[in-house]
Amino acid sequence: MLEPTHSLKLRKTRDEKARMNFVSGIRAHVLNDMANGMRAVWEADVEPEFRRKRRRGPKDGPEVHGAMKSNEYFKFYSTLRVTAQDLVWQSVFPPLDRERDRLKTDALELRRRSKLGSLTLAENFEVPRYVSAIDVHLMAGNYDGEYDSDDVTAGSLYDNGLAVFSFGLMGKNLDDIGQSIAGFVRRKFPQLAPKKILDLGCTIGHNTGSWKDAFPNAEVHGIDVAAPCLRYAHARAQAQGRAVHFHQMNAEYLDFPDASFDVVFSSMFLHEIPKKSIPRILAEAHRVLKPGGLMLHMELPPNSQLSPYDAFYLDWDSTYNNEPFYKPFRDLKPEKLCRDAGFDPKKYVQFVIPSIGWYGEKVWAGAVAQQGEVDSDKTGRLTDGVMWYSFGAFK
Amino acid sequence: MFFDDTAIDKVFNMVVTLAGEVWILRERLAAMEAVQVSSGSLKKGQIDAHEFDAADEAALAGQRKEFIDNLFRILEEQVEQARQRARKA
Ligand SMILES: C[S@@+](CC[C@H](N)C(=O)[O-])C[C@H]1O[C@@H](n2cnc3c(N)ncnc32)[C@H](O)[C@@H]1O
Repeated sequence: MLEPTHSLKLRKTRDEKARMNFVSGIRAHVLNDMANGMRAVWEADVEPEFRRKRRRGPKDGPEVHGAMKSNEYFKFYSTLRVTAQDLVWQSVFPPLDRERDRLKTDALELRRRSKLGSLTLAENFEVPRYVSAIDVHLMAGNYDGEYDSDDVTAGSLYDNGLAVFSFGLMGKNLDDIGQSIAGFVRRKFPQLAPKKILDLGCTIGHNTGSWKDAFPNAEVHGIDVAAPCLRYAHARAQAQGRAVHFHQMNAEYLDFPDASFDVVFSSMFLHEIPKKSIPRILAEAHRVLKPGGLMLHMELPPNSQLSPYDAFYLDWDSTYNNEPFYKPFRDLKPEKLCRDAGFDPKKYVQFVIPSIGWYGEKVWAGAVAQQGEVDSDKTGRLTDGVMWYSFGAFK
Repeated sequence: MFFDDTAIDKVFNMVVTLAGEVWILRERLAAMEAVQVSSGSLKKGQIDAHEFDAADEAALAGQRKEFIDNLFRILEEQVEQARQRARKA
């Protein structure tokens, strides 16, 4: 297992490390080997049976789900994946409980000596119900839960949990998405030369810092609603020597002036937002963008661009992983979302960007010239061959 | 029996029995560490503090994958059969 390398890294016993490694291994087995197996079972058994009965192929993801539900392999895949999800968090709690106070002290110390970036928490901040009322992807306490003042537990839980969860695919610093996409934007749009960049729903800033790496002269800001994650994000950025400004803000009501950013980015963010709030967030992104600026959201690809089987495969999280907003978001059409937010449809963009860690710098760089196809089952998934789908528009 | 399918009660009994055996192994390992510490061939806490070097880490990762593949091997029989049917069709 790759683990975070900074001074806020959890100190673990031999057994705790072994447990995390084991859980990562189970995750890799389900998401690689069993995902391939399940597709084979679908193609060889379940789909032909569906066609015999209905005299046609499946229309969409839910139809595939209906046909797969009673299949034994699907049941094993699902129960093992649910078990692994639980074990991801369970593997982090014992060292985290032991280290909570040490982390808090270290984070405060990093903040006291801070020379880079800033941390601005809001007073009397209202965390939206869709964050405070659920434990998304079964993460106890969610992003915003706090033990006491100056708590950073949720941030550390996310940092370490994600490291176990992603079995190395997000890179040592968990920033593969940020590195791949910020680097892509720098090469693909040299004229953009952004001076101010905003990351929405930045959590622990793991993908925010990449923008500072790609554009060292730019001012980089990250916002989130979750205070313990933001404290951790700021301390983590200090420990890694990155200047990023973190603010506690709701993406639906940004506290930034009109036309103040050249890039508004988010990753793995919109699928955790209820359908009714997404238009507000995109409208806010439009408002704070300068003319000529770029809005870009890295996300799981929309169902309209996937085969019924791939849609079913990605919808799994919505049904079984406490991701209530995931499928509803993926049922929306990104072009329409952008148009409704005030962007010119002619300036809509979407990309499939290869993971820099998975393919290596050379292949990745080659892809800058040519835009990939969006209909691949590899898109944005933790499976053989990883690509990051993103959509947005220039203002 | 409590569950709709009595097989679940039986499997539960097996899981708890297996957990008991795993615990016995842990106590035995603890005893081995303690004996080695008292005989001076190991320092207290040395195992917990041990970091594998990159080569050991890679070898272990390979063994771990094999272990997990083997653990779930029986599930792959269904996939293998499906693949064979697909090849024939
Ligand atoms: C899945 S995480 C995003 C992770 C991160 N951007 C990445 O690249 O992996 C979603 C984050 O969005 C935050 N969030 C949810 N609703 C929000 C809102 N209305 N405004 C700002 N942040 C929000 C949550 O607190 C959480 O940290």
